[in-house]
Amino acid sequence: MSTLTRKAWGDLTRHRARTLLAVCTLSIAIASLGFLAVPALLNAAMNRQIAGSHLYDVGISTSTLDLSPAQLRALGRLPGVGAVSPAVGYATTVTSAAGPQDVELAGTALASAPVNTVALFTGRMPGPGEVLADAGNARATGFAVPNGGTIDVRAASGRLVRLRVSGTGMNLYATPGANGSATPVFYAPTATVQALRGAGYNYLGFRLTDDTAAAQSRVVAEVRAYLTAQTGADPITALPAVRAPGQWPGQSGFNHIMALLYIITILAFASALFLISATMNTLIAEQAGEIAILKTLGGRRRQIAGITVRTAAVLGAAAAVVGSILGIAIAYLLAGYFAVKLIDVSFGFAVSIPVVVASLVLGPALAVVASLPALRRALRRPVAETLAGAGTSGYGSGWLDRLVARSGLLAGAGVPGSVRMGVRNALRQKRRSAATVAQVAVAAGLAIAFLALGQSVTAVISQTIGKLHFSISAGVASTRGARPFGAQALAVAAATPGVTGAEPVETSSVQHNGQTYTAWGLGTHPFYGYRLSAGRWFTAADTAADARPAVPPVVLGPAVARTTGARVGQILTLTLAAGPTRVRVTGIDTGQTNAGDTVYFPLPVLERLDGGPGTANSVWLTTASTAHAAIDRAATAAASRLAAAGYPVSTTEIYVAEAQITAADTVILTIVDILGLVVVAIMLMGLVSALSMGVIERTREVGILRCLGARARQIRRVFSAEAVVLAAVGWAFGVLLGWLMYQGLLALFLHNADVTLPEDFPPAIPLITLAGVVVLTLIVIRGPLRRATRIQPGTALRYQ
Amino acid sequence: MTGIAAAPAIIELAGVEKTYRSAGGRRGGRGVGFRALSGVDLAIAAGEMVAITGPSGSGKTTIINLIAGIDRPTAGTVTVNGSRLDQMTEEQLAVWRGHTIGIVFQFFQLMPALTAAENATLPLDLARLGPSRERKAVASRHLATVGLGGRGERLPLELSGGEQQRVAIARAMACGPPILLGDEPTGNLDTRLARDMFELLKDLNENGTTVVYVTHDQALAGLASRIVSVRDGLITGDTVRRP
Repeated sequence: MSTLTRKAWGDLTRHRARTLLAVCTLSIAIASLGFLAVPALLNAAMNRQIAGSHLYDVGISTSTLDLSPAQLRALGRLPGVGAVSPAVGYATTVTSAAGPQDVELAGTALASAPVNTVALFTGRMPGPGEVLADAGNARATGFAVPNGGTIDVRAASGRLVRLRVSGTGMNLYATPGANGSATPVFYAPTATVQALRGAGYNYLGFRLTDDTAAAQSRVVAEVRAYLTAQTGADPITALPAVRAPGQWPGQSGFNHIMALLYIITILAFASALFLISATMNTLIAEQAGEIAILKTLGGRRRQIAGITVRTAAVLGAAAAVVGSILGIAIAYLLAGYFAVKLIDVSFGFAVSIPVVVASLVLGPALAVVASLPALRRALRRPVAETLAGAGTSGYGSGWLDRLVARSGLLAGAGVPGSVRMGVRNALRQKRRSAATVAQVAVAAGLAIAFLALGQSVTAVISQTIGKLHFSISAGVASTRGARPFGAQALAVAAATPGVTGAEPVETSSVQHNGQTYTAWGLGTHPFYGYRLSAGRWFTAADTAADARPAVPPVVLGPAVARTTGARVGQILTLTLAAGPTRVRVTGIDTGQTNAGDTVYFPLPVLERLDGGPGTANSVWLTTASTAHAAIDRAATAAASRLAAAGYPVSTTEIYVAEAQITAADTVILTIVDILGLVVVAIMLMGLVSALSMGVIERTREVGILRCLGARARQIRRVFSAEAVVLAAVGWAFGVLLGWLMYQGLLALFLHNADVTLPEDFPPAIPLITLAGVVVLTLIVIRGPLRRATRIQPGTALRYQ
Repeated sequence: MTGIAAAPAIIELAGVEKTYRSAGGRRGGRGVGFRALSGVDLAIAAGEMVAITGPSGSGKTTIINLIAGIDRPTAGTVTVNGSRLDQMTEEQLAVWRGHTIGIVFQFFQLMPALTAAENATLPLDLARLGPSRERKAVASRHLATVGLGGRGERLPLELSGGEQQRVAIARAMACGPPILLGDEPTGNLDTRLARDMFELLKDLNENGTTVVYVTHDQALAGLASRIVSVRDGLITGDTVRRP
């Protein structure tokens, strides 16, 4: 081993504490690259899930059809059809230990279904008398029944049938999490559901040989013609669902989550780069004296640089190995947590090889590159100046030093000498102090930005909830013979004890450019608290029963407006059950209901477009009391009265839906909190490293103070004063940086994740951050100071 | 025991050994040990002025460090001003040093962020001797004694080497310690300044302070009333100069 290489190695082994600190800091910085693996791992898990789901290309809801196996085979042989799976859906109520609940039962061939396969997550596939709970029920609907638990299902005959939950599973088409539904879903063999509801199927899922839009339309037409010929009437009851290639249910929400993750992982990566740069710069700057000595011995720049680069490379390599292992663990834990909590995806241990390779390569590379600026400065500095400045001076010659001295701020008798010395020490090593201030500024800025972001998300939750000014939604039950609401149904609902108002609403869906949006048909003064950013709501003329505008007016939700690029006054072509329809945009709403993906129609217009007057399928009810028990009673009474009048309904209490909306928006809050916390922790590691290294490098100074009779607490006061000053200055810069990052995050959320967040930056956030920074600073330097004051002064004086 | 101390000894080293160990050798293990002192007995009476001489690596600085309690002996005992240093904790030693020992280092070791006056006041602040105003007055007197009465507001950066060493002496005397130790106190000064510095030390000694200093300069060593020679970790000579 050459002397130069031995020197590089010796530099590391001689200062073990410093080396360990540098490796730890670099490791954490490199481990944060593992964040980049999280979106990739989740994407891979979701792709596996999508592939395993065998999602439909065309899904057709029908009236109840008693299809024979031969007829099903014939459907499967229609031109363009690759596979067909019949299913029966049954909307009913169940009672369980968790209480009464509206649910959907999906009767299919489960794991053997060639279309819309149900994958098993836990437990086992259900046998007779058993069901599989959808894995998203707990998160999306709040209704969880554990494996082995039972539900008592109301059959069409009215009797209760007990079914046992054998496990959990999911199909992306049906899961409430992906579809934004608040209704829990259970899967069962077809025979089980038919026994409850009655014989027959009411849904056909098709996979096509050609998934283009034209092929989809042809298949729909073929199926319609075949079924009409078989049954004597067109049995299709709703707009056929078509899935564009590459699209899947819940994709929009998943993409939003991925966008959020990418934004924060990029922030984590930038923070990691900063941390690596600051650590290496500090480390190399400390070598200035030795570099000067090597120059006096005849060392050439390339030789001296080679030593430093070797040292940096070894540090970086060690950190890369440790950091990669840490990064794998971080990525796995984060991705696994998000997979379960946010998107209901089955997730096993996985490694993103590209990220691991990048970490192993980038570790040494970044450490070397980050050390070059300090190395260049040290090589250029004159030898005499460097050697003369070693261990002393740095304070007194600059304008800032004179300003501090002249201000007399610290000259007062009330200021302890140790504090005075500590504050001035902050100005001695200006470059090191500036680096520490920068570390604090970035850490504080990130903390402030994420706290403010959390505040904004919380504000969104209250804004979304506040828009629904009714207590109960009663919807038409999807059972045989159910009829839409008309004036009679409205009168029955309005006369229910406890109900103070009733509004008919139609909920449907529309398509535009392959995207499906929720459609609401509302009146002039709806129970929905709209707030428009542009244009106007519907007038009385728009919502008149006989209104027949040539180009109906619509109001777009904010996400629809963004996706379509539509403006007020613009004409759009939307596809409804009646076919393509031209509509005029009269207003743009700001509400986040249905994630802003709603198109609002005047009720009579939507009824007409969906097949004729009186097709309202919901009634919104207001109640005299907002107490949950009173709302529950009114909902039960309304459902009973409507059922007795020939309108079987399922009811949803809005306070329950509000809890689910809160849960949905809490997804964003969870991502912000967890990832934000980890990113801030990474930067705080940099602060820890900077402060610790500062104390270690001043070990000799501690020894001198000990020689002069200083007690340990007096020494702690000197260093604490210096650290607190640097922390406070860093915090001040961090407030500005944090505000800027917060604005940037709001803009990124809007443009990349399609999420509108209100600006909310209360003064409490910077103050909380200041307290946190100061407290953490005082805690951090305690360890190194305790070590320094325990060293014998003689040993401390000999420290180099 | 080597040494002629008719008056009660204020400093006593008995059978003192000191071995320095490096933190692990190239192949690990306990590291390399360097024996700095191999069994030293030394007694210094109150009021003496003692020069410790010897070649580089002979153990001179080690003796000073042991007297100051900066290092601990590997074997033997060190008693200074009636206190057994080996029985004291680091914290106790620090407090004891503030009242008992004044140290002057070869490279001054002033606090760079403090003015000359503040450096001179620092030991008084650390020991909390008297009210703040009084501490400044005491420090000013000491600065005046060393000839820097009008330069108290200067930073070390703004002082010459000789002036910095004077500040160091003023700092060492701040608490009025009975013992002043110097580790090559004039090693960084030219001959003229070195002599001036030595005169200061002599004045302090004549006022009752026990002065022990290390020097490799035989001429400066000859100015002390007693010369202790050290070689290879052992005392090889102890000469009292008759006035």
